[in-house]
Amino acid sequence: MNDRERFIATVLGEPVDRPPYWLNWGPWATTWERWEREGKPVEVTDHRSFMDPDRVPTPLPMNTGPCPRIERTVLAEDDESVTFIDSWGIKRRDLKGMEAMSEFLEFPVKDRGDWEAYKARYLNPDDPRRLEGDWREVGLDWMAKGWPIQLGYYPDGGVFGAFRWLMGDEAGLMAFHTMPDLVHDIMDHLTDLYLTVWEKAAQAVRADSIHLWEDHCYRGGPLISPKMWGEFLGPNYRRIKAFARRHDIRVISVDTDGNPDRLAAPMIESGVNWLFPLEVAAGCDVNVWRLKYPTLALMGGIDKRVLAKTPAAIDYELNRVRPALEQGRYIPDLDHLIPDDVSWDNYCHYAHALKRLVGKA
Amino acid sequence: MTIKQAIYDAVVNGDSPAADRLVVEALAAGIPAEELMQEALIAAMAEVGARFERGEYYVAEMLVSAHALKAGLKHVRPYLTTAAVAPIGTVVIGTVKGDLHDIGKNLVGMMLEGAGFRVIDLGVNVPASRFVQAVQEAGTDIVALSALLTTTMNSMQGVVEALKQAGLRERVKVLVGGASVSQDFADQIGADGFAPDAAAAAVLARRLVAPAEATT
Repeated sequence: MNDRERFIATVLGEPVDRPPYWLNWGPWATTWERWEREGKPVEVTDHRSFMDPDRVPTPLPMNTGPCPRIERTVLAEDDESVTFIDSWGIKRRDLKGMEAMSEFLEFPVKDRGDWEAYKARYLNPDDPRRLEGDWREVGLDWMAKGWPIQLGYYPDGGVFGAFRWLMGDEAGLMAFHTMPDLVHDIMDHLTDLYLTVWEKAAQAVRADSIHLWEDHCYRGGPLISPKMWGEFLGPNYRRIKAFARRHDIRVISVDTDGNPDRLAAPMIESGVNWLFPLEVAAGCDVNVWRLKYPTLALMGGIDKRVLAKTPAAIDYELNRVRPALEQGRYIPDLDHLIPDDVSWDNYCHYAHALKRLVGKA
Repeated sequence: MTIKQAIYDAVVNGDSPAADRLVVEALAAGIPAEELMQEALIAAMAEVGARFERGEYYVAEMLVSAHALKAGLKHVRPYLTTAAVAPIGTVVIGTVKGDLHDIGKNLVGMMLEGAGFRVIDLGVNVPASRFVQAVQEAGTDIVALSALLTTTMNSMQGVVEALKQAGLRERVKVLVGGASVSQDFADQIGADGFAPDAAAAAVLARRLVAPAEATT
């Protein structure tokens, strides 16, 4: 089987020669710096290729975010941090030399007026700059190589995810109650945008999966209720499902982060058949998930925190997910980015042990 | 329906304009601020926390309720000061050094406020020395520490150590929470408690100050 065939068959629960060998989640920048200090060979330029893993679904080069692109603009900088405007127009602050998420200082949409202006300026689905360059040739090349091709990508492809870039966590979540029409309008328009761009791409290149980056769960569960998910996201997901069916795209994946258990049912109903990363720290056990949701493909579920321990602890953690692996529809992988308390030696141990676990020679 | 019940409902339902208006009306009608605080606002947030724990409310609902609480609280607070009705305790809260994540910390702060605490929010990326300074200045009962990442969790231990070195550790309780934090980790660093979510943090904080509360 080639990487594409193995990936699709795994997600659909069909027979495979072996489970995919993926090193999907990479290191934080500070983890990479640590590995360089610890003697990572200079010829190793990314966390994957030196181990010859299978190819993960890769997004076609396109732009489903703000178009024209918003240039990163530094507003202030000192020894500790840098404050800047990012590619969505968000004012944020990053710490230097530390593994950390940004501090989000201001979001571009606060009300209907902001939204209408932003939509008109940056979110025209038909802007020809959304698909330009050699995307078609790239896609045809990947098809010839048997690599899985994806529509949708982080950070510009999620019904909730991109909505959050516009309004922010707190104001966005409150808007579900205080400005529901605006939330509907934003999510409906984002979906229109994705479908418009994907339609053009799918007419030229055979896509294998659609990916939605949402990050709408945390350790305690979803940020919004299943009812709200059904009201606001459900109809848009069903439009995406219909698009997928028209183009014989058989995989729809969602990156939820956290614990998505209470959203699994509405997502499955709306066409999702692959979820990740199933964070152990959020209480996700892939063995339990495998039995509870037999039609849902899973990826992740290996506790990233264990990589900071001993090789024996890493082996034990990999052994823990064997039941899910034996049941199928499971791609073993870490449950998020690799923290900077993980040594280069431990990462190599993990990558080799995972390779043996899935039976890749 | 009494006006106290209407305020309670406004907070539980996350209706900020109603909470704002009704508290003003209630105070104008001569209802004591303490009564509004205890029987309407705090009681409502306790119900919000209970609904969250039962899985009936999610973060979105907690946020709108917390904002409705704030809308009412701003009118009640000046009366509480003049009536010398003390909050049940003071909490210094912050996201530890090296970490900029704040939604969890903000939500916990709101729930603590709704549980009757005075909350001093130090913000994000807070060094241990700043927590120590705040404890020295504020007559603090609880230090609440938030961290999202596995590596910044270690800064929590730094705060506990800094409090010890300043001779303040026995004066305050330390609560910890965040995406990767667990009860085991709390025990390991010598914290007094771990809360998996904002509602649990409010319940735990009340429990930790309960002996003092009982004597007032």
